[in-house]
Amino acid sequence: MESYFLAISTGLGNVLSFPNILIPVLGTAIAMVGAFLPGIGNSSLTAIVLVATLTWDPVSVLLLFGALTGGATFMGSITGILFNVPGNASSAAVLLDGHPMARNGRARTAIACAATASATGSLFGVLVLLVILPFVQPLLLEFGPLERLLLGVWGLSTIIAIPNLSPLRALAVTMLGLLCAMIGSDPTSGLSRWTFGSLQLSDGFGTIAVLLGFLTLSEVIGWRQSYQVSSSGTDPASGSTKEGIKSVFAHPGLTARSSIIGTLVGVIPGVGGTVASFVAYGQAVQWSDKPETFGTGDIRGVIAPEAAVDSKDGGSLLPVLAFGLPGSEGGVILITVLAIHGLVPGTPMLTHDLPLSLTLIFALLMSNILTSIVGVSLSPYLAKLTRLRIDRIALPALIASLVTIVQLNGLLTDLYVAAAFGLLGYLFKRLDWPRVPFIIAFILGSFIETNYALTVRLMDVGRISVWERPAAIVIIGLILATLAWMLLGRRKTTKQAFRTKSRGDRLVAFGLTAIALAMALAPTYDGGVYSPYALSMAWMAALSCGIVAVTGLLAQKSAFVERTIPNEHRLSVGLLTVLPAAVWALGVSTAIALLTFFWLRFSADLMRIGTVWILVVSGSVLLAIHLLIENVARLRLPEPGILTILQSFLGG
Amino acid sequence: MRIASHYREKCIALGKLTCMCICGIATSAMMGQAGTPQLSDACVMRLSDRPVTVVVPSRPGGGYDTYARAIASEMEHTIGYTVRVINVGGAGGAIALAQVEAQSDDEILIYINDIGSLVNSTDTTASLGFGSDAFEILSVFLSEPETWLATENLDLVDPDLSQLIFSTTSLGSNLVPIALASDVLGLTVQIVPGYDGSAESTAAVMRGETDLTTASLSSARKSARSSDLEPVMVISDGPAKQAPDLPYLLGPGSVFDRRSVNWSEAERTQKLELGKTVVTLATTRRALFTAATVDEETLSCLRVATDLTLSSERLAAQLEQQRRPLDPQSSEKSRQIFTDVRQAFAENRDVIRAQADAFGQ
Repeated sequence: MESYFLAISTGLGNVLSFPNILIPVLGTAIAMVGAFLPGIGNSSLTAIVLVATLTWDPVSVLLLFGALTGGATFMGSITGILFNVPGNASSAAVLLDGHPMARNGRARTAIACAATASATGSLFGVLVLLVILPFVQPLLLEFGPLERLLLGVWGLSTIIAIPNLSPLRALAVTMLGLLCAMIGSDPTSGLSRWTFGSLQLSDGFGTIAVLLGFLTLSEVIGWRQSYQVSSSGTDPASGSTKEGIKSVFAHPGLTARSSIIGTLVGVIPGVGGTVASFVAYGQAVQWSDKPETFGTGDIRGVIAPEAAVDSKDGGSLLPVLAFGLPGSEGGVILITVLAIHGLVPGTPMLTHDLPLSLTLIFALLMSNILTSIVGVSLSPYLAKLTRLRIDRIALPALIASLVTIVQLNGLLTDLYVAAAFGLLGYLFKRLDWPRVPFIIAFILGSFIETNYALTVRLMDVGRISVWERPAAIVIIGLILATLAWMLLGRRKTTKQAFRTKSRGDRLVAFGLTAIALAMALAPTYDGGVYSPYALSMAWMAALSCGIVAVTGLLAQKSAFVERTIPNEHRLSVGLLTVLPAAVWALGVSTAIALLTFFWLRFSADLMRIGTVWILVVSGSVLLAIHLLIENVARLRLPEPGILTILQSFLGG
Repeated sequence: MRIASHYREKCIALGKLTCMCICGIATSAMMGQAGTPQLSDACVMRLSDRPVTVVVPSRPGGGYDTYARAIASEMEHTIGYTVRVINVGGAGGAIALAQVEAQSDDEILIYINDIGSLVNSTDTTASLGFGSDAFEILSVFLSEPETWLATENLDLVDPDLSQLIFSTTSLGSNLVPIALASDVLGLTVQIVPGYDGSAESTAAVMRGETDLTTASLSSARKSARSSDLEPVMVISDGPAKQAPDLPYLLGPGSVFDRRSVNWSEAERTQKLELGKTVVTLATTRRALFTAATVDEETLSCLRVATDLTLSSERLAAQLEQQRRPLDPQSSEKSRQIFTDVRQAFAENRDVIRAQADAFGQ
């Protein structure tokens, strides 16, 4: 025990001594910049840093990579709070209450609260880690496919906690999310499913492409209507930084519970921040005496997910250090870093190299705190962004999103997917179909399926049994508790929620039913091999969407409220609809330049800009994107379709 | 993009002679100082009029990415021009394969991956529309046998050894080192596929869910240092060069030798033949490839350039610093290896298919 405290003090000393303390500051700055650069993703940046630090000593390297791991987690919440578009998947929970707070003129409070919860969660997570670190190896070995499957199911069950949901629609979109997650390859056999011969879909829909489309593009479509984010009539920057900071300490139990959830979820490889944030949000709702306030700007809905996501970072280091198990992309690079510098994950990193492990953990903590300090300091200024007329930032946000999507994997398919989900997300929003359950289900879908397949197989060969796994029994208890809360709790749903409310609503319901049905019948026409799990999900999706569609048929016409696309949205909807065809035909940079041209041309009266300026801006966009794609991101994109057709025509 | 490449060609044509002289002199000077063989001026000219790009079929930061960047950096010294590295992940490397196969005449794309993965991908992915004959190998830079990894108390020679359970990522690419190798040894196995990466497969053994997993020899040894697992057999014919102390599949004193003591001669011979095929197919051979559509002279120059690059002491030192082994084969030997592996896959396709059917794929 004495040597353990000595290792802790050595680790702290490594971080806080001068000039070492400058390295986490540098790492934090790099991580924050990487979070914003559209042409360079965080993993590319980390790979570059890896090469640049080959000759560094192990302490300095661990200080830098600890900071890189923790540096940018909080940044994704800012756009979620301000504009309802999350910067990353794990920030999707924060916007449920964070954005309503911004709309109510409390953006500054929300950002300060998120920043403080982030730092507090991280600190709490590290304290928990320090307690369990000596016992971590046997603890990690308790979590196998069965436990992960149950954790995934628990994550799904938190959908029930999301406020103001129609249960039937929530079920339908959850099944759809699970179904969409299965498009690609069977995790066991590797055989293609629902790809219809497309190589680009072999890995399924890209998670980021779906998220950016479903949550971001669907929002941006509606931004052509001019308004300020804050609709309360008060100064949007009039929220209080102090109130935001104090609120975290006013809810110590909530912060502690969320941090514990985040840390424990983070310890399990492959689970990720999204599960942590939604499980924490769900437990916040369940423990609340007024759950109906969640979703309307309840500050607890910001504290819980934010504390969980940042406490997860520390936990995610443990599988890497204890066993060399990556669990995430960042973990892969970290293992490479350890190997390069002669550090061996496992017992050595937990015994004679323990001071170095603790250096890494404390560097991560410092980075989280630094980012939070930046967030709190900037909250008054960031909050003022809500004063912006939203239509002024719509086009830059749209262009930035599209470029980000393309540079992810260098595949145009990602852009097509994002556009399709952007339109679907917009329709869901207009017609009051819940979007968050779809996202949760989509993100958890392949994780649940993979671990389900492994669990079934291990049970077949007699290697695991539920009753011999104490961790599994505990998680089952948590799932049952969540479901019991749902059945016995104070959720109110009006009858109207069970009936569709417009013709558009009915059309969407039938459309989704048809798609799910087509997927369920795929084995009959594409000759593919589909597992019973995959087909049963498809049939359940078809059934649940079908029920929603049929109840719509039974709805009284007097209950109908016609929902058309507002005039100010029609241009953006139209442009997003034709964008995939334009990209295929003309190339990415030309298509986006044309989108810019038409957007500005039809907004010229509103924005008071002349045709010359429109041409200048469109031309600049064309050049900038072309340079970014060719020289910065160095993507190899297919030739424009129109050129291919011309070539074959002329060649023929 | 077409306009840009047109003007690029123009510029190259106009400045070609000047550039070649300057760069040829510079390259010669560098090589002369290093005391290493040089690429001929003709080859330098041939390789310099098109951009050379190494295509990595995975995201940045992984093993292949590390090798690609180090090799590209050294190749720049060899040919005297920039060599780019791009990452094209997706579809298990098939998208990168398709891009390399479809490379146009005004570029040179080099693909980095394992020979077995390339042959397996092209043979099993019908939507690709081409086979492994669409590629030419440039050079193998590392060969490692597959290794079985298990807990310390597993004795493969034990005649009472009952059913073994393997954990693995996907079934297709692991049928040979698991199912066929087990068949050679007369072992009954069950396979649990679907683990998310080789690290997770290894963790499954640590957790006691499964008995064994497979990994390349260097990965297996790394895992052994981090846990209580140990390599229990190297799939090689004779002791492995990198680890001569570890048990091996075939050869005098091998696991096969000791397990087959009481077998009939006919059975021994049959299993021995199968074992040799397994050794051929189950060895990880990391290599560089390009499309077969590249003209003969350029291909020849690429091979020379690759040989020079991979035999560079500077490259070896750089990879040593990153704890990455390097064991290059000449381009001639590499071509023979590629042919042997393709032939072995083709001849044993039915056997592999039968194993896949037996395991329910």
